[in-house]
Amino acid sequence: MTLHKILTAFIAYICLTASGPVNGKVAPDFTLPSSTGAMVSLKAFRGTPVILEWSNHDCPFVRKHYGAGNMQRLQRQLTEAGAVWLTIISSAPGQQGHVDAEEAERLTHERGAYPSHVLLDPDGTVGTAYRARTTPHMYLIDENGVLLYQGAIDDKPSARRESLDGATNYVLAAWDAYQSGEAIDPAQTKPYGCTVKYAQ
Amino acid sequence: MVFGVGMRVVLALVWAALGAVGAFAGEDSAADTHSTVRLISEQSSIRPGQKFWLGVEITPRENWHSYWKNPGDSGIAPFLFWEAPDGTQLADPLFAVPEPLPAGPLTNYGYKGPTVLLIEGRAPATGGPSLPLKLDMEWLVCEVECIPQDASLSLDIPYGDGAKDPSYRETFSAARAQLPELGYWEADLNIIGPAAQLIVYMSQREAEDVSDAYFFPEQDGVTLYSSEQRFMVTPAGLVIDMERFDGDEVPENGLGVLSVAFTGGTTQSFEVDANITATASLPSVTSGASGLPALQNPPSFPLWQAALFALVGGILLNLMPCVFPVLSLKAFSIVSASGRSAGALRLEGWAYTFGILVSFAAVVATLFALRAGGAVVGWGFQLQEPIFVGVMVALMLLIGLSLSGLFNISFGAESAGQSLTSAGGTKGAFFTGVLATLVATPCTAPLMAPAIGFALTQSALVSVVVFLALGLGLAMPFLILSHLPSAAAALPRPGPWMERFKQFLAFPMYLTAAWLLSVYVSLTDSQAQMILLFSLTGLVFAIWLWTGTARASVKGLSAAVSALCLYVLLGAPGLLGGSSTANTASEEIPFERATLDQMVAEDAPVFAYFTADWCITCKANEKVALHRAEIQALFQSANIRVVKGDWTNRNDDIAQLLSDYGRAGVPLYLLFPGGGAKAVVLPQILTPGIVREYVESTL
Repeated sequence: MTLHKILTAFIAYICLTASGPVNGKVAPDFTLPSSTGAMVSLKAFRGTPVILEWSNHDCPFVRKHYGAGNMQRLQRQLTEAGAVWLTIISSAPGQQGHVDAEEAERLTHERGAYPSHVLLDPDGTVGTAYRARTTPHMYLIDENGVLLYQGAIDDKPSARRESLDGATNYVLAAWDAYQSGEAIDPAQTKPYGCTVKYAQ
Repeated sequence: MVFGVGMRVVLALVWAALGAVGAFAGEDSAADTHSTVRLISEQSSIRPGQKFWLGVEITPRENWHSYWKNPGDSGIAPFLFWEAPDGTQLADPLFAVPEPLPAGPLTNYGYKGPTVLLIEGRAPATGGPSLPLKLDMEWLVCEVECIPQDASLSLDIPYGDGAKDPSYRETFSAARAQLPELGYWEADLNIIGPAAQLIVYMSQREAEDVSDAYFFPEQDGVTLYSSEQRFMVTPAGLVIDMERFDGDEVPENGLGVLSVAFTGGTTQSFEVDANITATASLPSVTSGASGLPALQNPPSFPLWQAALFALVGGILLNLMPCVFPVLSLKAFSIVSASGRSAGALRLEGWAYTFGILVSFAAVVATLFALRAGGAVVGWGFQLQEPIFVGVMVALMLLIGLSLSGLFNISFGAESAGQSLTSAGGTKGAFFTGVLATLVATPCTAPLMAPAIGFALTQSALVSVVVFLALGLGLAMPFLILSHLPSAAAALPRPGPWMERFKQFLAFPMYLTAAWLLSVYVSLTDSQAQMILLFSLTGLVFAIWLWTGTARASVKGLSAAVSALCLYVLLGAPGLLGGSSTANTASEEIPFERATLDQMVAEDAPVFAYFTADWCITCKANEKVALHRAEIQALFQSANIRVVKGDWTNRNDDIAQLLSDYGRAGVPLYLLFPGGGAKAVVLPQILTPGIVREYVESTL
């Protein structure tokens, strides 16, 4: 019956496939217009690690990270280390956080942010493909397009600025582990923040 | 953001300092922009070392909501941070039953109106005149937008007689009424890739009044919060099917709250602590059309994966004891093929493959024809046909005798003989493939049950693809050999050892023949067996005659004898009026679906086993475990009634039950604890220890 067990394990293995944002699998590809009017594809960044950040500038949790300069620091640190940082806005028209290209540009300058691109996803297609649920909701994709981390930005689900002190930044931890070739743990966390404002 | 806290604290302190029991204001409240909170004490005084209860009431603005401990897709559970004197114990808050709150494509779990978190505390054994408690809390309220809230609250509860404060009695009793009730049912949570299934083992009486049900899991990864949950009432209890995202990590536990609406209009919620199993194989229970607990359809997986699995299975078939000898002969033909061209070898390899594929196609076609005709069949169905079994006995015997060297049926490129398989070259290879398939079928059932069970429940296209992949796998080793002369060269040199080895290989064939003969007897009776044995003897005699002479008259006699024997062999079961009923031990109740359904609903446990005389695994299990005196005694002492389903002959009810449990064949062992509870499925290989373990852990 050992043979039987091996066969069962074999079925189990081949059944474990899913489409969507699955760690260890190629992240869903997308093409979105950026705040500068360019069309940006995830696939174009093969060879470079990519960070995805879901954002809504009016969300208090996003404001915590931008207001304290935490998000900008992370953006700067990781882009200077060679990552591409894509900030994605999936708020539907009329919903909180929805911006046009011009407003998105203005916000980037005003906040001193360092994203490689700010991408506009007003119909929520890409947000849905990634199952982005909150702002912020973070993803780390390696140079081969494989998803390494998805979830919260850190371990303090709070909108208070003080919560940043002593918080463990999961994205940074995942990045460091990825850079040093170690296993990423945790690789999936429950994201916290405001609900992504998809069309109701 | 916090209003009035200071004053409240001052007042509380003043009252506490005055020691004015009864004048203690058992609450503190605060307001943030979009909600208010209130910290209340159930008692106006507490006793040292004794239990007390606190409440934290969150009241969002109209149309805004706060969150449950698992807020769902987004949102955040309230966070409480306490400061209290050493020795004070404060438990995690108890949450009221939430409701699903859809937000576009996402769904949250929370409360639209006010809600009260209940906190159980225990005072230190010794202390001052009062117990000062300070609470810093953060909570999130959302309408569409989300506004984080925070507040600091405090209470200073005097020590005293522990009397309850009448002014909060209603608030606390209302809050307790909102909590889920303690769950007293066992539950299983099966995580199966893109699906999750919660089974709550309530009795059928409890479950049949359920008009709606919803499961709030505490952990992520159980379900897609926005997906619909479907519930079913089965004799095993309540079953809730949920969708989940296959890529999510498997949850750590099966905790949650089950909300149930009853036909009378009442709604009740219960705590659930389900045993979690994450599996890609069969889940345990859903509703069976017939009323017995049954299995959900096996999980579907993409066609190419099923085909790949079948291919691997087919390759493994080459190692089966009754297949190996036949294939060894084919190997001999390749070993001794050094004189032939590579092209001829390749052609032979393909002819052999083609022979196997044609045979598998014939098996599938037969299955479909039978199914279309309404017959419920499974793998191994051929063995329920006495004529087929009789022919197989003859075939195995003749192959065995040939291997022993009684007469020279030679294979492949060796000199001519009488068998089709000996016809040399491509034709011989083709029939070797047919023969391989034919002898493989009886041996393959146990090993191939998963793939075949899958194939038989699928569409015609899938079945055909799976069976052909199985055939291709069976043919694979020789197909590869025929294309790789270098590999063939690596085989041992031909020599006298081949003759000896061939003779050895006869014995597995004789054993197979003996086993098939016993199957034949159980399908028919001893008279039919006698006729079969006579005609087999006649057949061997005819072949002996044929091979020993060149004279046409003797050959004619031989042909006549063999024709007569074959006629008798094929006709024997018919002549004698078909099959007999299988014998059943006196204390065993023969299987009938209705009887079993009824017995399962009664209190006493039932052990049901499904067997067939041609199933070696079944017979072995019965011999080493089920029919042993100790197990019989165990059954008796545990008051277990035994039901035996005999699948030696085709039986639609048994086939239906097997398919309910995701099986295409026997053995199947089910232990029903009684009272309508679902069956525990025992492993396919039994020992007395295994049976005892299952009986003891189930009952």
